[in-house]
Amino acid sequence: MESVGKIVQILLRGFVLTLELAGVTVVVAVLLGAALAMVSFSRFLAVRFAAKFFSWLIRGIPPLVLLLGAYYGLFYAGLDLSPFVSATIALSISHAAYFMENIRGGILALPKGQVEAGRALGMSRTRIAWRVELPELLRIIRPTCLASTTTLVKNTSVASIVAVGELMSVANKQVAVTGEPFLVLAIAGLFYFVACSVLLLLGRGSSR
Amino acid sequence: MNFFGTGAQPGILSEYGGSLLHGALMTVVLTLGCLAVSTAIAVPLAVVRESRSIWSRLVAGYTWLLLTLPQLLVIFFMFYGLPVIGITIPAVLTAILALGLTTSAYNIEIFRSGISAVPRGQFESARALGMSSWHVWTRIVLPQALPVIIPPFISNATLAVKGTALAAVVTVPELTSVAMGIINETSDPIAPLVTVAVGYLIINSILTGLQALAERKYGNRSRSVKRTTLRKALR
Repeated sequence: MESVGKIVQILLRGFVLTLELAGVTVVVAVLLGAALAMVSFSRFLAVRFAAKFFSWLIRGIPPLVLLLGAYYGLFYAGLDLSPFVSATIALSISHAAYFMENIRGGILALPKGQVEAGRALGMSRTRIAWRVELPELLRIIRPTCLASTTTLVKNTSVASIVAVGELMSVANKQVAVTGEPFLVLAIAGLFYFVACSVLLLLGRGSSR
Repeated sequence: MNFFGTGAQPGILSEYGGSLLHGALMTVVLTLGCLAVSTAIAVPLAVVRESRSIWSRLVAGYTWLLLTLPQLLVIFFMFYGLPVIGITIPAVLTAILALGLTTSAYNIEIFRSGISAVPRGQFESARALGMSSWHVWTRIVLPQALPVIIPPFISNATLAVKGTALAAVVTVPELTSVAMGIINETSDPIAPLVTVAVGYLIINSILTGLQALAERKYGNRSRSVKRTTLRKALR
């Protein structure tokens, strides 16, 4: 049996990769989600429909299926990508749909009175957008976006299926090596618990 | 585009239709099992959570823990852990229990919001009128709580459907696992994955349809109340 210290050390390396995977994914997913949210208010019906169809489609499919699609599909399409990159692509697409809905909901919830007040004060349209609407939007979407980010961090564990080498994959390997499922998975769980608790607490703090 | 037209695609349903249907059935079984387990756990825990006892804090800790742990980790924890403590049950049951546990955390919050939608005074006045606690729940609390509970419960159920895909990892032959098997046999990933994705979309669309029905049945009343009070406030 390996010492607890050594297991922690090995899992910590996996945890760092989990954070990297989650970090890259959250940036891509938020940017993609924001673009889709804006597009979903397009004046063209076909564009609005396409954005909403994407959201419905992606939110209806398990992340695991999307991951297998990105992993095998891109490979058979002739792209030899690393598991990390295919996991980033799949998780980004999967979560972009959720960030899109969060941002869309935030835009719909923007109070009109503030814009009118801004106009009454003689502010220009861009100034209102940057100084009034954007800060208000960020305030509104922060809790939901942080909740989605928590789900994202948890869903990076799915990437272990294609052996990305993040926390869940490393933990699985350690379970096999040590034959101590409770110990290894409890330590892995502790890492997820800490990371997700921080995100959830940030979300709570901002909503109060 | 050779991966679309390998000739495997038109054959996938005729050749693997049976196992795909079995997989879909297993996905439905996992979903229903998960919802049953999570409801059985969440109903009493939601009541405790809403109570003023010290156990309320413990339930809050349980919810928090399960909200921060990946479903896959809980599945592995039970799949590898249960045999170690001498419990050997079929992988399907392990998956149902694990999925039910994680889903229960969300359901506790959903049921809580339903219970707290009923003003506390109504419990007390119903009791003061001499109603039994059975009557208090069936005639006073549930009719008011269910409209609040059902829409988020069903939308949580669509998350549960997606969670069942993870059972593939512990050898449960559900939809995703069947797709993985077909990929291994035919080395054509697109046709089985698209077929399976459509399967999930169909199951989830049925649930979304139910949600719309429930909202039409229960939603109108509370919405019209909201509108009139809003209008009154605006006057």
